[in-house]
Amino acid sequence: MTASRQTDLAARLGRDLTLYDAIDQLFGTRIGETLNELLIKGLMDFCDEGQSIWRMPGRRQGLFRGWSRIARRNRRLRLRGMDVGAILEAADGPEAMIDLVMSRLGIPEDHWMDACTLELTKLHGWAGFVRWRGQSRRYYWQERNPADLVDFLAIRLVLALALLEDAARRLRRDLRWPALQAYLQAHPRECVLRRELNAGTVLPDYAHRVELALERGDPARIDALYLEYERIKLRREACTRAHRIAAMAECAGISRADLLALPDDTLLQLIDGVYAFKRGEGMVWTEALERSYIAGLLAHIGPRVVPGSEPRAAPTETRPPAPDAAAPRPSDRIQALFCIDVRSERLRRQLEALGDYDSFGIAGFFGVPLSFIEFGKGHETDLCPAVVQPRNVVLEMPHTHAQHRHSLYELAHEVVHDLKNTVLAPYVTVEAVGVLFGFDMLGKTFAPRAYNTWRARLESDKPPARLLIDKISQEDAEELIANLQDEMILRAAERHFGIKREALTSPMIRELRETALGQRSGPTAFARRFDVEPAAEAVFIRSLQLEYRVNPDQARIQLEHLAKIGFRYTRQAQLVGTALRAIGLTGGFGRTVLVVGHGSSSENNPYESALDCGACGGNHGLINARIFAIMANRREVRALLAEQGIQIPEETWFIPALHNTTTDEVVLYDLEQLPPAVLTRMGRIREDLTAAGRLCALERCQALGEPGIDGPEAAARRVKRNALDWTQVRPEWGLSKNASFVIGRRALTAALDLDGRAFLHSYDYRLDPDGRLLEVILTGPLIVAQWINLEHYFSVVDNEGFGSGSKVFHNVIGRFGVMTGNLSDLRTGLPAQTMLRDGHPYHTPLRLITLIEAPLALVQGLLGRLYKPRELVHNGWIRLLVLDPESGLTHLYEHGQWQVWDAGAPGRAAGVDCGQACAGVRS
Amino acid sequence: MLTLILFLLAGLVLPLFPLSLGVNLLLQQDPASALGGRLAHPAARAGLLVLLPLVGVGLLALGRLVAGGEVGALATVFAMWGGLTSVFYAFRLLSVRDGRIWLAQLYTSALALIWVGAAHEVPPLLPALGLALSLLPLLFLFDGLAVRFGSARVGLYPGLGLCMPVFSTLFILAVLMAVAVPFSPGFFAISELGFGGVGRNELLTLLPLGLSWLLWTWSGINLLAGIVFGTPRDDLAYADLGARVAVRHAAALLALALFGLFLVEGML
Repeated sequence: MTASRQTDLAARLGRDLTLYDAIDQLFGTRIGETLNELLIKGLMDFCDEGQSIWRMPGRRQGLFRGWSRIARRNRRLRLRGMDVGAILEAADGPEAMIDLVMSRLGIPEDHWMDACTLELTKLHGWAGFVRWRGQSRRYYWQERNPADLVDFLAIRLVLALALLEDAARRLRRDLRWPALQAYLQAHPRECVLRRELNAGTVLPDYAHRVELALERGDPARIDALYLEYERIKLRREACTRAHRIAAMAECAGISRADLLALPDDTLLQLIDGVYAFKRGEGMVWTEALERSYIAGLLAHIGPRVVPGSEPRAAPTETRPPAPDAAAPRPSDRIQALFCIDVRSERLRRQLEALGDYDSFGIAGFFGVPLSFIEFGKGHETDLCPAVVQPRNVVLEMPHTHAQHRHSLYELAHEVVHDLKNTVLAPYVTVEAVGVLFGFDMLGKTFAPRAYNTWRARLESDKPPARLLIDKISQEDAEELIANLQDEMILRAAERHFGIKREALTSPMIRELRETALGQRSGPTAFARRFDVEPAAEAVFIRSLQLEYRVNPDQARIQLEHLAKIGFRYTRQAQLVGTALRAIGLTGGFGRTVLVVGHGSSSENNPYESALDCGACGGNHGLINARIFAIMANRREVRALLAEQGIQIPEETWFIPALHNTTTDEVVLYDLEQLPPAVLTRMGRIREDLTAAGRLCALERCQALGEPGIDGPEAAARRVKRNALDWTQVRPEWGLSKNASFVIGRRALTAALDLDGRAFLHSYDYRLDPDGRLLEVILTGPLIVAQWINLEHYFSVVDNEGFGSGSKVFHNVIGRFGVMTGNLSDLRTGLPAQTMLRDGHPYHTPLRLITLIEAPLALVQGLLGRLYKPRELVHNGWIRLLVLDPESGLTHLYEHGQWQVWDAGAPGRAAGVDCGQACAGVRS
Repeated sequence: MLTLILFLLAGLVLPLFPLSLGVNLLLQQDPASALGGRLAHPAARAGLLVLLPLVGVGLLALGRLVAGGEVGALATVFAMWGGLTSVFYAFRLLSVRDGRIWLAQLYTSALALIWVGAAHEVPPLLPALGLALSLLPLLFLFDGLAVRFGSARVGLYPGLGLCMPVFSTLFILAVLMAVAVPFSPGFFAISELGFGGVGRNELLTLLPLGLSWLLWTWSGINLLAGIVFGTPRDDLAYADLGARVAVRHAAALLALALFGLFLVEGML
């Protein structure tokens, strides 16, 4: 203890401990805690996205300047003894402030980088959010109120300096870096005792004596106590170790007598060995778990691979041969495209088991990256994986242009919420409107299904709308902008002069537009007709240009925005073709192809988007499914696809659908666009989907541990209730338990019960000799699946640190994040309710086991070319297996090299039931 | 004069700062010291906690008797003194980490309030007993901690709620009882002192009572946060209470709750 603990603090200062961490440990101050609290309050005010009624002023100046303006006048900081104003006066700008604080604290320059890193890890959730904002240039709130990590760091350091100066005054000590280092060197024993006491690691029975000795400050007494304390502590640590070793030896079948008979040196080696093993123990268990899962998976999949199988023309050939003559024609079979999400695996399996269905797995955005502007919403939502930057915008346009009228219910709803959100109204209206909230609460709590159905009836439906997915021509775009400008001119004329449309002619409006756009000059017919003075006319034209944005710059910007709307036919054909080739569906089309996006539904759940489609940026996948189906149904697109060798028969219809992963209901969409003959097939498909959904619900109820479920119908009712129940903390398990990613033909996994743990991406290596399709999968879906997998991994191994702890204590903050209680770091990761069951891990912490059915050389070549997947595999974030159909061998990348998987290898006998990987195989 | 002397003597055990130093020293004695050794057993400390207020109440009554009941101005001065003492010790409680010291200072802060009631002729016996008896469960549980870990102290072994759930449940109840949450004997004692005096001088009565009570609750929460909640240390051995001991503690808490009802009857 002596040597190590005396020098420990000095060595860790600046590397693992900030200056105030060390001071907190030595003198029992709580600077770190106070600093976090003050910083969080400032960030909450700044980052608010509409939850606060009184918003922080000056946010447009940016995080640091906006905060500084308030902090200079903050009397509460002064009452705490913090002279923030004086510090802020000494430097201008965040970079200069960081330099100033580091210099004032005397931190050596070679420690600045470490010091900054340490500061950023103190509130990793907030720092991560600010970093994300700083990098999201298109994010509305970032454009409006800019913030970045330099601002964050500068504020943190200003507060730290103010708190340290205050602590130095109160403790009457110099707390700067050089002085603290000197103190650590001069009083090593005292420092050890101080740290033991204040860090909560002191032996409990010595705590009072240590405290008294330190208070009195007598060096001789401190030294004497230190020597005694050191001796006792070492003795007790040795005892603890000895007990642990004895217990472990007992577990290993070594008797106590045998253990004691060992020579001292051997015992010491044993103890050191055991404690050294602790550092790598986690990885041993992780690898054992992974090998067990791999062994189970390969035991079922491996035999399905036939070495040297011949290439084939269409994937349907991999289907098992029809058992009897009554089997449907290939075109009568229904094909269904599902997201690769693990929750699709159950539905695909159940649907295929009903018969006549072939399913395919593809990333849930169906290869169509887009920004979507929903009707009634003013912002774009990216519906694609976060690694993709969408270039095309799709608009939702209502069929009718009828004025949207508020129903009485909606008016009442608005009034009540406005009252609730004002500052003073709740005090005076609580008795009057409180009962309404009580009614709402009772309904949601005791009869969620009936109450939500009733409320849905009261709320007015969104008007029917279509998706604008085609490109607008240059002429159409210019005409659209001209119409918009004319509309602005009419409004301006009415507002400025009270002149209505009836009094204006179209040439007058056109002339005003051209004047405002600088295409002509001189007096206008408008001015002559209404006797407008030249000066007033000039003001009016200026107002059109500035206030109503009828000017050349704005017209150009609008034209650029319009150019982003929709996709050209060639692009549509390219997207559809790439998606179909990627899943191996290039021929043998059925008459019906379902395009099934997915999303979840739950109440009172800030984590809802974690249950939605990751490939759609955490949104529902329906829009992408609808757009894909519209494109694939287009005659022009099919003609272009035929040129690429993909012949889609005329009688084939792509039909979009949404799989609700909370209730396992599947709803078909855009049926009104189908010809009547096709509609007749929908009845059976709906029945099949309902049946498969109920069977999935039964599996889901078993996984959720729902009691009293005696059949699929009861299960369907229960999961629907879960989706509507606002008290339900676990509406579904989501992607918990995800373990593997299979990239290959469905024949590999068809009829296998993978227990909803596998991402399944359809891929036929025979259609991809140069690996271009596999490259798309490795750089897109694989990356997303790996993110999801690691998010779950870290959330379960340290739910408080990397996950977000229990949902029960969560509060939504500023409409952008979640905190525990009223003040905490911004929570990242997944909540305990998604990761744990009864306090024990429900999700098994495995790295993503990725199985690719393709020649090994092809995969190796791709890894050599693709940086990101290579890094993930080589650095052990993904366990990669290649099932080489040409050799029939399975290769595992492990410890930096490719090894042929040997089913009889030691990993196989790791003591875990391999059968757990595949819950069962249906005959 | 004799009344003053008797009141001052009572101020030693119904503690008035700085006369309170003696009682505090006595109750805070380290078991390793000579005097502390004699008081090492919790029963001895419990006896002191009950006996001292009774002595104080007796001296108070004697002083009143000597003065023939005419103690108006003197009683008001002592009430203010008691109120200040109570708030002073309640404030100090916020920074105390050692269980023994915490209990001693809570005793001082609580019993000093008797003077507030006494100024308004509230009979002091039942409130004094109520306040003192409320501390006993915590005294025994602190002793349990000291036996297990060598010291009863905040922040040294957090997370007992996870490792010693039975003990923690009783500990929470004991802390709540000590800080006089409704419906503990301490709560009824404070109510009695408050209701008795509020009709005569609201400020003098309610200010010290309210402030002290607020600070006790605050420090009680600190105590729980540092002992029951948090992440347990892995270098310590934790042993929860056995069933028999737990039942004994629970029975004692129940008995005290019943005594609280007795106090209500006294108030009525």
